[in-house]
Amino acid sequence: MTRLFLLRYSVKRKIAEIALLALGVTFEYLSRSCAALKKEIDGWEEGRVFALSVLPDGPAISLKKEGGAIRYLGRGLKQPNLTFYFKNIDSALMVFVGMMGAHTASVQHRTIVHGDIGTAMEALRAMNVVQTYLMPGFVLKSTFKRPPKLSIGELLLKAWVMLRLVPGLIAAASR
Amino acid sequence: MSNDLFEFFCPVKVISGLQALANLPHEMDQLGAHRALIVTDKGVVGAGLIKHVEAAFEGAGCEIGRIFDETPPDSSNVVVNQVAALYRESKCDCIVAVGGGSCIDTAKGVNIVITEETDDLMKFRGAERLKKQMRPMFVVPTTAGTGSEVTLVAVISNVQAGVKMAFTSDRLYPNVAILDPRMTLTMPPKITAATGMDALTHACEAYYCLQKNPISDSLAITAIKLTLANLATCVENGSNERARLSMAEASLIAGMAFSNSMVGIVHAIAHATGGVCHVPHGIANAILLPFGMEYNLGKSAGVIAELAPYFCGRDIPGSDEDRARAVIQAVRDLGAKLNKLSGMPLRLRDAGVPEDKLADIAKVAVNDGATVYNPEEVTFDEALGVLRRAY
Repeated sequence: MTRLFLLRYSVKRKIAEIALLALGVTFEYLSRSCAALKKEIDGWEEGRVFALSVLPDGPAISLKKEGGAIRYLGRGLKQPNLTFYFKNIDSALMVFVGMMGAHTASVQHRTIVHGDIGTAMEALRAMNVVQTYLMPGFVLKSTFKRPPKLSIGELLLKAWVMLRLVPGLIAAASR
Repeated sequence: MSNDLFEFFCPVKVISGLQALANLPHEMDQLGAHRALIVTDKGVVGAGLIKHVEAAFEGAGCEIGRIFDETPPDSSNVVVNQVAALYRESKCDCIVAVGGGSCIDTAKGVNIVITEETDDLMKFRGAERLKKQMRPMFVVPTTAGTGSEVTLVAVISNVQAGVKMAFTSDRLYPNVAILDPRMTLTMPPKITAATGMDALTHACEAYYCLQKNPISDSLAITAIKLTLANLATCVENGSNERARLSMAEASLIAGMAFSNSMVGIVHAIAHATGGVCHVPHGIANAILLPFGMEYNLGKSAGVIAELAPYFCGRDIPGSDEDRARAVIQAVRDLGAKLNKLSGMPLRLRDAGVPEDKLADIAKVAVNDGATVYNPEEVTFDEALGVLRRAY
């Protein structure tokens, strides 16, 4: 029974690791190619580091604003100014697999923020833009307060993001 | 209907009624504390309210170690560190906040500094970062609106960094809240009106925003009923102790509700209006409440409509939207009545907000944490739209 639990936890943890990696590399890519994300991060100060992590001991990723764009710093907490913590792996998975929006996770006390709340709001909006390109439309309809309407150009960008996701994940896995 | 998962927590002992303050030394003793640091402000001292607190200690086994009466309207890390030094110097073992939101937030900040043995509050910004058992804390509110005596939140400015630091933690709840009608009797009509509308806003937003839950719902409804029955009376006749006590209770109950279900766009814009234009929080809430409710009609008409029997004295026939609009009209009618009685402004322009600051306010409002809990998405353009309508 214990081994079954451990196996189940390991699988969940691996899914969360991959989801976080996907978020990290897509964030990095879109920060240079998506107008909505560029506009959102434009006002962020250079050097801002934010992280997502699952309690009690990860997985986690860190991202940094550098040269006007976002750089995926890799796994773990790299001295972030702001950290979003999921209280447990199940809550994280509900968001990562599209069962629940990030705002609903906050509303339901499934996440906590360490750092400035205003900065957290900016990061949340930016993550929503990234989620728009990672999640299928039907998921966005059920998880966003107001599902985004993408233009033709944005839909093409979304298709491109999907196409380059797997090579992007492989390339970033070693970082 | 509740969320899939909700939390509710309020560990504050409430003592409410005539001469309730006399119980303070006994409550200190119960928690092993015997020497109090009083955190208050000049207004409270000037109104003679501290005398009631001092009188409560007469013949008691507990004593007042020090009174700090220089709490500014906006609490800061500098003041918090100064008061924490007084606490240590005076060998106090508990904190008693006597005042409004700023005194209570200052006391909460002092408790963090003392307990965590730090002078850098920045390290504890955010949610659930406090792990240690805090010093005993008692709150005697002198306004009826903030509900801070039963909330887990403190907002303190960082003077050096130029930011407002928000702290939320289950550890920040005071141990005891004491509601004594004598302590709010001297509030002038306009402040009574504005702080009362603050309480009503807490209750309304707690009821229709996304973190609502069955427990906070029942508290919000009770707070709404008490406010509607007593607020105008308090403004008209400030010496009515019974009405004053009921409003203090309404404020506390609304505080319990919103501390567990949070607030939405009204508070997000009110916080920003206070930050940018220094409009008192209660006045900003009073002005913005009907506009914020209207903004959420698309998503929450049904929930707001449930309040119709309380606001309108009877249920209103018609669609959810008709009934919700009747609730909003009742809020406007109450505001108009309070405006007539006390001069409480009903428009942002009458509260001293320059029109060219609306965009700045909207920019700050979209970064307020309360927008997460608002049923409808809040963008910059939409926040600006609400501000223009309220102008």
